[in-house]
Formats: sequence, structure tokens, C-alpha cells
Amino acid sequence: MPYNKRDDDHLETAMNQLADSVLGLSDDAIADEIGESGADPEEDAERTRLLLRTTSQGWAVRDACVEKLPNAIPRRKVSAPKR
Amino acid sequence: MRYSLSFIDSTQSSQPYERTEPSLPPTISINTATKSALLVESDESLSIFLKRCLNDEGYAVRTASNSEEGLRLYRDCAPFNVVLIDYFISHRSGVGIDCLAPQTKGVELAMAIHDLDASQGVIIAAFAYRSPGEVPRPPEAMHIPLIIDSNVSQLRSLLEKIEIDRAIRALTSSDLLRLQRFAKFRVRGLGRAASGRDWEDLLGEALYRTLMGAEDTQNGRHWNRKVTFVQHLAGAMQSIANVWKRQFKEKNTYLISELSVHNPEGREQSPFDDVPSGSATADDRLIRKSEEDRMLTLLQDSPDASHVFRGLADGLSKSEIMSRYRLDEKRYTTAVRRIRAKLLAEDNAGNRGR
Repeated sequence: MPYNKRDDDHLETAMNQLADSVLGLSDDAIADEIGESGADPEEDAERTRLLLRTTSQGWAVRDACVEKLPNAIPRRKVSAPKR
Repeated sequence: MRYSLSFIDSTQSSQPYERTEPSLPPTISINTATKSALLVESDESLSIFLKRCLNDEGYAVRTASNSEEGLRLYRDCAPFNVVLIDYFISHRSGVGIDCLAPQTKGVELAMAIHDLDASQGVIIAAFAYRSPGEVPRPPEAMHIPLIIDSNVSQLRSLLEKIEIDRAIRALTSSDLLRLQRFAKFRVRGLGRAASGRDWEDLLGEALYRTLMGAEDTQNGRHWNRKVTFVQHLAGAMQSIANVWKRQFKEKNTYLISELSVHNPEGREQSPFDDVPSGSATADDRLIRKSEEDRMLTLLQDSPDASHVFRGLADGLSKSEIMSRYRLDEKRYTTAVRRIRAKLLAEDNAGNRGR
């Protein structure tokens, strides 16, 4: 991925290239690197999975109404739905 | 609460139903299509309409006209990518007194399927109601998504959500670690422009925009399936990081007219007139330079790593760095690995310190 170098962009450019390099790592290599740094790969992976799940669940309930209305009167059932 | 299904499932055998845990990704088509759907709808016109919608989205569709048939088909052919159930379906077809009363077996069928496979994506179509809050259902069924409006976009959005959830479940530990580290490096590269955000904010935002992408192409980021889910999220993070950076720059930039003040004599005066030196950009540049120097200090025990970091910071490609510092492939790879490890160790130490 090409980067446009700018005077104040050195750090960002390096970090972006390092970010891209992570995507090409093998499964063993990334687990080894994280293990060597003192972190627990499984714990880190689980934390990331939890983040994704929580975000997805948050999206699902954004418009949901938890109120239950057992006596609600249904509208007439549509037979010719609009498209 | 566990749904026994005895009241809707006359086909249930005396033996307890045993089902193996679905393997991921569980997309095994009923035919040869890549995506499969089970549609349980007793209204013929709605059935035709919904089947066409699902076909248009690339699903091979099995249809059932009542809950009994739906459950039987589910047991025979599951898993499906999605099960779409009408709220108003009958227990079984035919004539009889139970077929005359309004039949709302959709939720019960949905819960029965959920009991068989909690990861099965299910949607209930409740076109007869005006809002999700009006649809009567037990608390344990509140998580099941509803479509209220019979237009295609709402269905499409829910189908996309189910597919994204499947993709999340299918991510391996290595995929998750790649995403985490990608996000960490991207946020670190933003420096002050991150404005206090961390890797979780970046990855969370990327997923949020992806979920949004099904219904809002302007603000969301649609996953077009030509790339893997990891690649898509990485691309989304890259784009969001660029937006954050731009917003930071815009926020920290002012028009001279906005800053102009008038002195007591009524003469226009620039606030910079009294400032001896410096600007936000200069400060930012100074901070970045000192951070860059700090990185090089961190890597000083490895000349190769220092060289490669300098090359990366200069925007050089891999081959240019190798050529400039006379590195072979192995030394380059080792140097990059060392840089990543140093930064990660520093990051971990920082987290422990906090």
C-alpha cells in the first residue's frame, strides 16, 4: 500500500505500515508475537470477540422496544405488500 | 425457559432430540446455493413476495406453510443461513376449529428453533403491527429481530445483520488478534488526532459502520463479500482513522475571521499579534518528532530495527528499505517483527501501569 510521505507524517506512516504487516502474519506468528510480549493471546482474542459481539448486540437493540403490550390490537394483515 | 414443542410438534419422537453442535461456518446449502433460508408463511401472496425477496438476495429457499411443517423442515435440513417466520402462522394446515381463530404460532416456532440451535439466525415478520413494541411476545423472545414494514430494505438489513453475526462467529483467534493489533497500530499512528480514542473505539466503529452499511450506504460501509471479513474491517478502520484525523485537523483549524477581535479603539486585531511563536501544527509536529525519537531510542539495541523503522517512517516500500540498508529478506522480516514486539510490549506495560 503506497503512502504519501509528509513532513509531519513519519510516525503515522510507520504505524500504518506496521498495521498492514500484521494482516499478513501467519496464525502461529501472530500468537507467538503476542505471547512473547507478555500478553495472553487467548485472552486478547476473547476480548476482541466480546467487543464485536457487544457492538453487534448494541446495534440490534438500538430501536427495539422492550415494552410488552399484550392487548395491542393488530392492524389488518396485509395481503398486498408494498415494495 | 425451554420450549418443549410438544404442543406444536406432533412429529416429535419419544427419543430426546439430539443435535450436534453446528460447525463454523455452518453455511451448508440445501442445494448448491451458497446461502439457504427457511420461510414459514401461511399467507400465499406474502410467501411468494418474501420468497422472491430472499431469492433476490441470493438465498435458496425452502418454504413451509405452518409451524409443524416448518419445524419438521428445520430438523431435516438445518442449519439455514436464516429462518424467516410469519408471526401469524397456524399450527398445521387444513380445516377445523383451530384454523379459524387467529394463529400466532410464529414466536413459538422461533423459540423452538432457538432451543435447538441458539446461533440460528431467525427473523419474525410481524407486518400486522405498527412497531416492535406492539408485538406481543414473551421476554425470552425479545431478542428475535422483527420486520414490521413489508418493504425490502428492512428485510435486507436484518439479513445482513445475521450474515455479519455469522462472520463474527466464524472469526478465528488469529483473525481476532490481527484485527486487534491492526487497530492498535492505526490508533497509535493517529497520535493526538485519536483524541483519547483507543483500539476498541476504532474496531467497534468499523463494525458499527458495517452494520449500518446495509441500510445507509452514505454513512455505513457495506461488506461486499469480495474480500474477507477481516480485510473488510481493516479497510473500514483505515477509512475511519482517516476521517478522525481529518476531523481533528478541521477542529483545530480556525479561520482568521473567527479569531479576529477588536481593540478598545475599534481596530481589528489578530490574536496571533500577541503570540510570540507556535501554532497547533507546530506543537503537533514537535510531539510527533519526540515520539518518533522515543521509538528510535526504544529500538536502539537493534540497528536493523532502527533502520527499518526509519525507512517505514519515510514511507519507503519493503524493497526500498532493503536496498537502502542492504538487508536481506530474513533480516528485514526479523527487524519488522522486533519493532512490532517492542511496541506491543510497551503497550502492555502501559496497560499494566494504568
